Amino acid sequence: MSRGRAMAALPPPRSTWDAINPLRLLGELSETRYWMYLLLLPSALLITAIVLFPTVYGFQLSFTEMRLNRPAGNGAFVGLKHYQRMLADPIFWLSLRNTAVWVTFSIVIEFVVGLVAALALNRNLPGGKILAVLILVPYFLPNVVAGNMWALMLDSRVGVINDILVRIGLLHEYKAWFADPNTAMATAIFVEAWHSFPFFTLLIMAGLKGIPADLYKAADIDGAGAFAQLRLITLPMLRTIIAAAVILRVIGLVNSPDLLLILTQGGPGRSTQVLSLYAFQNAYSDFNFGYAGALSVVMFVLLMLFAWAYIRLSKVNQD
Amino acid sequence: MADARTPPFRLNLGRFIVYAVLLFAVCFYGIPLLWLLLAGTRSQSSLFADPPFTIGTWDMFIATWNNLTTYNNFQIVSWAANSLIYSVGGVLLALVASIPAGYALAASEFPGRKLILVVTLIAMITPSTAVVLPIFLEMNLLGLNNSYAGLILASGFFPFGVYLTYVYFSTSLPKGVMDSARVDGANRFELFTRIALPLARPIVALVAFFSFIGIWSNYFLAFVLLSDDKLYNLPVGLTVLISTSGALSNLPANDVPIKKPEVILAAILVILPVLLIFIVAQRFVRSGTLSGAEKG
Repeated sequence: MSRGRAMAALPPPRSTWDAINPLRLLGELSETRYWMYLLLLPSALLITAIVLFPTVYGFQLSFTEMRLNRPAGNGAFVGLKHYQRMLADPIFWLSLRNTAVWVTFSIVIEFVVGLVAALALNRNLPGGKILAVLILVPYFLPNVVAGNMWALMLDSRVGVINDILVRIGLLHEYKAWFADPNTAMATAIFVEAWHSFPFFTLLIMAGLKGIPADLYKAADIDGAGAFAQLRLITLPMLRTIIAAAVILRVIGLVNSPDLLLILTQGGPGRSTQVLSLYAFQNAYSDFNFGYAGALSVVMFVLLMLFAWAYIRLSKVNQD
Repeated sequence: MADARTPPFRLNLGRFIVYAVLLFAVCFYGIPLLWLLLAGTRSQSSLFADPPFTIGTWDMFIATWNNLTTYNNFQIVSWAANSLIYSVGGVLLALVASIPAGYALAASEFPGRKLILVVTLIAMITPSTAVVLPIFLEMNLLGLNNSYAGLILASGFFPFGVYLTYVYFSTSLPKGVMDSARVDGANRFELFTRIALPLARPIVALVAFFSFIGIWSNYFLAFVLLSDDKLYNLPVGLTVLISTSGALSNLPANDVPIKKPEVILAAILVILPVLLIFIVAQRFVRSGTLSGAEKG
């Protein structure tokens, strides 16, 4: 403070401080054509370090030998070796199928429940605000907590869910949901849908606010029922937002093994083995980063193809 | 927001269905959370023997709390401190990257602007988990594995923040005020710090909120990048507690003081800051996300 006052009182001398004063330097720099790029610099550095470089590096990895436990021969170019191995790897195909099941069912359930909740919340009913908060809060539960909480609740000895199901007579005895290959995937999908459907609710509620009320008034006059209005007005108007939400969720589901890592680790057997988990295990249990890289590249390409096809399709429907 | 046009309340079949749906949704969430909160106050034997929604005793809760906090030389306290360091560092990094970049993209035309917007959008849909293996190797090369800096760097990238800021500034920058400040001799750095930044308060809060929640909850990235248990964050620490205590597996009885109630209390510790921040910020966050989403 005192320095500031002293400087204000005296005529500003061209001192050493002035020459290195960062504020003055930034001010001068901002008048050059580099200013915009300077503003973008921190973001550009981060994007390079955290997205661009790793992506390129990942592609390169998939064509090289990289085993952290066998340093000899690391970094050698092996061409399509990893991809050839993948085609003949039954676990890869199983993981691909499981990924499809995991993503499809999760998305469908999340979308339907999310849409219904959003439509209900959009009616501006008394108490609706507090219900909206209650519904949205758990979306912000960390995956780890949501996963472990459900693992505890579905536990075969103390699980509250088992207790409730036995009491109302749906089950005869406590069931170890994640230990049975027939129920493990379905249970995991249930937990995932529980955790993430508010994402759809949140985005769809935003979209609903943007639909002009006149459309509904006109439909009322034309005698369109509630279901017809949903089909002919609401859903078409929400198309962009639904497309964005689906793409984001699909990418999230394909890429992040968090929840399955916590709930099942791919088991029992390989009944919940998905691609992201398989890539992760290749890297961290077998230390085979080359093969894991190839698996990641395949996931990346499949996702980009999906996003592209999906955007194309939702645009075609528009015309 | 009591809308003047809202007709007076009356119950009809449609309303009844709507309430039923909402009530079901709330139970769907509320029951598990309620169980979790109550379970934190109960003893191991009570969890096995008593009905699911029993409330434990205060003494029990204190005993559990002591077991948890003192375990392994106050390990959980240092994990909580780590989580705080990662979150604050990551949020600051996210802000330093997002706010100027979003401003630059919104405030002017320059060569390469379109390309940067597209790259930002692509980066937005590439979650860091997709590139987690190469990031691990990259951090290895840089010698940043197992360090605060490494995880902060990897988690501080938040392209959604760039996009939010861009959308916000595109509509809210007062072009007239900026032009007259320019005439008065302000340089472009001063336009940014004196006009844009004070305006940016809501968007700073929004970006901070979303990145804080993302980083505080981050499990996979931390799990991959950290192998030293002194550096764990709370989510990774929680899973360690669960596996060492055997709270979720049928390990034979052991003398680790961490049982189910302690684990549950640790889980509550992980969600508490997120829950509090969300409840404080929810109105604002909802309206903020809404305006962003509508324009997007």
